[in-house]
Amino acid sequence: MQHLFLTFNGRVAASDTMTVTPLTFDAPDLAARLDQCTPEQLDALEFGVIGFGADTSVTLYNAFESQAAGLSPQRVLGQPLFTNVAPCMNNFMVAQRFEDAHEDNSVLDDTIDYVLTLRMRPVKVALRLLSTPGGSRRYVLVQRQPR
Amino acid sequence: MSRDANELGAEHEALIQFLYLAPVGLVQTTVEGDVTMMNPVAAQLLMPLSHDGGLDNLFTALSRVAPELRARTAQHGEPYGKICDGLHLYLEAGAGGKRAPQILALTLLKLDPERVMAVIDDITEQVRRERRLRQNEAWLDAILTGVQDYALVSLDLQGRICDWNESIRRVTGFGPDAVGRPFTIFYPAGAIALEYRQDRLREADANGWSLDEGRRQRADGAVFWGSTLLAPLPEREPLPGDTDGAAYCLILRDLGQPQDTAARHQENAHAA
Repeated sequence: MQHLFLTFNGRVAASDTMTVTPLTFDAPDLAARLDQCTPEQLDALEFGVIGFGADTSVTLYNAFESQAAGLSPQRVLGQPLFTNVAPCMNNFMVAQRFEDAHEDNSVLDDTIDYVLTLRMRPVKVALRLLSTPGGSRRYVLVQRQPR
Repeated sequence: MSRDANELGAEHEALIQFLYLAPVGLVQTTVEGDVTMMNPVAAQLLMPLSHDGGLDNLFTALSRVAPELRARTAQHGEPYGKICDGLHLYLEAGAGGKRAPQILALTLLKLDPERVMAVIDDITEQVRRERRLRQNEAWLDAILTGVQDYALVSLDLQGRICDWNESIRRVTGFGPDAVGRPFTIFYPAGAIALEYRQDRLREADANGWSLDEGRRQRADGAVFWGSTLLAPLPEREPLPGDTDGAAYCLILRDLGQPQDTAARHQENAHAA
C-alpha cells in the first residue's frame, strides 16, 4: 500500500519509508488528500481551494483563494457557494456538473478553462472540479493561468 | 494598519461582496468592447457563450447572438447615452441543459467617448411567464367569443361589474354601461333581499365559491332561468393607482326557460 505524504513550504512529512508527493493542482487522488490536510497546510497551497458540502455551503476557503477574491473566510464560510460566493460558476459548466455527478452517483474529476471575476477583473483560470459519491466534501480548485 | 485603514479595508471588502452578489451582470468595456471590469453574474451568463474560453472582449463573446453590437457601438455618434436598451438575445435552444438561460436582456450605455457599461440579465423565466399569460388571454378571449350560454363577468370587492365583454351582451343583453353596476342587475327586481349581494360575496369568501339557481332577468326585462357561480379571485387587493381591481369572477349560465329546467330535472331523476 502506498501512502501519500505532502510537503508544504519545504516541510516534509515525517516518514522514512513513504513516497513524498508534493500537493499540486493536478495531483492525482486530490480530493482524498485535501480531506486530510490541516487548515495551515491548505493555506500554504499555491492555488485556491474551496470546499463545500452537499447543500453547497462553503466549509473551506483557503488563504490563496481568499486573497485572490478579496474576501475574508468569515464572509464566505457557511454561505451557499453558487449563489452567494461564486455566482459566476452557477451555470451548466460548473454548478450543474456537481449536481449531475451527485444524481448519477459518479466521480467528478475534471479540469476546465474558465474566467473568474476576481475583484471585478476577468481572470483566466483553470478550475478543477472534484466530487466523489459518498464524500462529505466537494472541491472547486482554482489555478491562475498565465495570460 | 491604522484604524482608518482597517475601516477602509472592511468597506472595500463589503463593496466587493456587494458587486459579487448583485443578481445582474455588470460589465465595463472600452468602446471596442475590451472588458475592463466584470462582476460574477456577467461571467456566469457570458461564459457559456464564449467560444475561445475567454471573456476578453464583450462583442466577441456575444458575436454569435448579437453580431451587430460592435458596429452599433462604433456608429453611436453621441459621446454618451444608451446604445441599446433591454435588447433580447436569443441563445442557442437547448444548449447547456434544461436550466440554462435561453434569453438574455442586454443594455449598453456609453459612459463617455472611451467607456461602455453593459447590464445583462437572464429574462428567460420572465419571457416564459409573459408568453403563458398571453396564451391564457388568447384562450379566454376565444372562450368569451365562442361560448353561447355563459356570461363571464368580473366583479370588484363590492360585487360591482368591473369589466364588460361580448358574452355579457349575449346572455343578458346588457351593454358596456353595465360596468360599475352591481351584479344584481341580472336578477328580477324584488326577487332578492337587500343584503343578497353581500351574502353571496361573503359565502364565496368563506367557501371558495357560491352557487345558486333561479330566475334571472335580461336588460329588456325578459326573465329566464339561470345559475350563478361566484368565486373569489386570488391577489385581489388593487395595485397602487389601480381602482377597478377584479376581486370575484361570476359565471352566469342561461338554463333556458324555467319549464325546460323542470323537465331536465325530471329526466335526470328518471335516469338515476
